[in-house]
Amino acid sequence: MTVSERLTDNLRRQGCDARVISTEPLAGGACQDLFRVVLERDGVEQTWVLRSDARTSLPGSISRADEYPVVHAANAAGVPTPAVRWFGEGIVREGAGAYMMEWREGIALGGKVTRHPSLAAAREVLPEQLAQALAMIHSVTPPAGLQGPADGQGSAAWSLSKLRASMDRLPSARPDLELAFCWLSENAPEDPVGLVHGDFRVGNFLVDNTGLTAVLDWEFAHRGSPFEDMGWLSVRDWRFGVLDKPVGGLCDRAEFYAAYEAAGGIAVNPQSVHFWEVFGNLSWATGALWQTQRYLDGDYDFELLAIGRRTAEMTFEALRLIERGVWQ
Amino acid sequence: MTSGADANVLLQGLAVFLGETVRPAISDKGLAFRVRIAQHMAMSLAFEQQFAEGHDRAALRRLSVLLFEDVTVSTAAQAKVRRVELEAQLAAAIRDGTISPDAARPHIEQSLRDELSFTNPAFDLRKDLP
Repeated sequence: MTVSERLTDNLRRQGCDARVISTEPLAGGACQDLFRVVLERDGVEQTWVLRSDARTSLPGSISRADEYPVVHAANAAGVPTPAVRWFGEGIVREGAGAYMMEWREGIALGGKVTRHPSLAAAREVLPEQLAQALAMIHSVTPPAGLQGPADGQGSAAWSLSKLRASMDRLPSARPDLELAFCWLSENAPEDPVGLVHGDFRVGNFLVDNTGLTAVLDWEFAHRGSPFEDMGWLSVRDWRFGVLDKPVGGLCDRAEFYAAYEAAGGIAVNPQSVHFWEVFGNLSWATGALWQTQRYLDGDYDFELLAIGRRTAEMTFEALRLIERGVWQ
Repeated sequence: MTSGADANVLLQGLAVFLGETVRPAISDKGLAFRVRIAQHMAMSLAFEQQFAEGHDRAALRRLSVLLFEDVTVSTAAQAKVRRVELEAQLAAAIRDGTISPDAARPHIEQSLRDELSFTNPAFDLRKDLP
């Protein structure tokens, strides 16, 4: 059976009488298989995205089965993220979970979002829109069973234990990673715990000339510190070359923190955000090494090798941040 | 014997071919992007091929001071293997606290600068970025 046929079966089983017109693979999902799906439903042609588990994934990446209730809860709470429906298994391949996601228009490419002249007006409003979206995400009650710290365990301790495990499963140890990890272990903050998007960064936002149209890619969602999302948004690689604007290549930190607090977010602790920015760089460095490992494990996507070669960029930045200290 | 073109020249030639001949002829944006990645990788390998032995030998000298280890090696390949061994040893020493972060940091930072000089020569090394 083809993907279209299995998708049609899944939709019918769930009471959706639709005719699948086409399924076309989409580029852009490093850890998921994505398809643009056109279907006819109630006599109307609609476009959706089919989002399926891929053959391999990165450590910390949750399954589509776990991701589905997170996105559903966020959408229901008003977060600008596409509505999701019709979770099923075995649509793209045996054992792989998948669901349909509402199609949204917009540009996600980081370099375009941060630099393209056609999005200049969008960049004027994006910092505030992103701050509002993030405050809204952090107000959502995490679905039961979502990964995160155990009772009594801090968010930093949980995240560090996951990162430690990920580093330890790599084939060889690197002293730059250990040096940054050593600092993190000695500087872990005590933060509140709530829903964390886990990959809230330029590149995962759909943007048009009016600003934000959607927050995407919830595969690293977990329970943890809200400041983790904020630190991740400032990770150097996600500034896409606009290094003098530390929040996603879009604005300075004070502007973003003020907009987040004005949108109902908790008071920002710059020291915590600093910790999570260092953590984010180390986490991405480890993730880059894991991309190489995926290639070596048989996922022969040439791009994975290139990402692994970038590890030193992230560890240099982590050590620079440690040396510089908390932004004031 | 030599053909007159060593690995460095060949890799640079490959990078130029990918960038100036192949890429402009591709209309598929996704494929053109991947060819660009391949072009950068070929150029990065050319730089690495040229400078890696010097970096490895300099790193071994620093590591011998940090770890009190013999770093005598003959060939470039031996230098690379020995360096990997000692970098792993240094990582373990930082982890168990045998070597302090302050002692290890200068070597690690120089190693990162060396690595970036061929993986991303345009990387901004300024320390005062916001």
